[in-house]
Amino acid sequence: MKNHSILRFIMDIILLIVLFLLLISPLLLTFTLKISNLDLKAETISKVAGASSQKDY
Amino acid sequence: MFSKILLKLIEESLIPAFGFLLLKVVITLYMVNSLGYNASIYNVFSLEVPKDLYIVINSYILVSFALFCFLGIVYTLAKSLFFHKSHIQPRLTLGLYSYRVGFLIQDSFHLFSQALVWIIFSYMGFVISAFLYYLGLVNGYVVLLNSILCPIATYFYILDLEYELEQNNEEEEVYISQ
Repeated sequence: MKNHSILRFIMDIILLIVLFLLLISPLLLTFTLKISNLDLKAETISKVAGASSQKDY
Repeated sequence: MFSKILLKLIEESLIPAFGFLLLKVVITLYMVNSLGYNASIYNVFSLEVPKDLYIVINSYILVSFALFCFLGIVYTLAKSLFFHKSHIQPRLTLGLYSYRVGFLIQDSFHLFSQALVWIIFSYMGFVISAFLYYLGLVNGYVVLLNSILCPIATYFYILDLEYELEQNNEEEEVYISQ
């Protein structure tokens, strides 16, 4: 009886983990999209260019 | 050996999880391709987009998640109100079986576990959208929509649960008086 309850407890924990993963995984998919560094580089270049052009004037 | 309710919750969360996955792929592909970027089913999970587009896509996905969850809850609760096994009208039962949609007739165990899964999904959507808004990666209206839809869905769920309990009490009273 005692073994059965321990086994049941372990199985329940495993099921809870599976359930949690199933519930969280679709929403975590929103994080699969990545922000490209291209626009950051462009922003940096424009800032630097802006600064240098300001210096010229 | 296995907990019946946990198994049921896992079973009920499979279809919404697959639906969310499909929604994410379709929205990302549609938006990225319509804005001139090259995306296909093979690179949809490893796309790199500018921050502006990232915010727009994430906002659309989370809004669709919220609406999808809300529709799921409304569908489940409508089934619970009109097609519940314990209080469905005999004529309606006959009609449903004649249209071959007898699967709509379900008991409380199925219906409330389904509704619970939808509610957990909608709250998770709310938490993730709030987190992304804090990081400046989604628009504010996403959090606002989620914060309106989640309490409404919970309220409907509680109303339906109360209705179900009242029905059970009435049935018990009739049974005792007989």
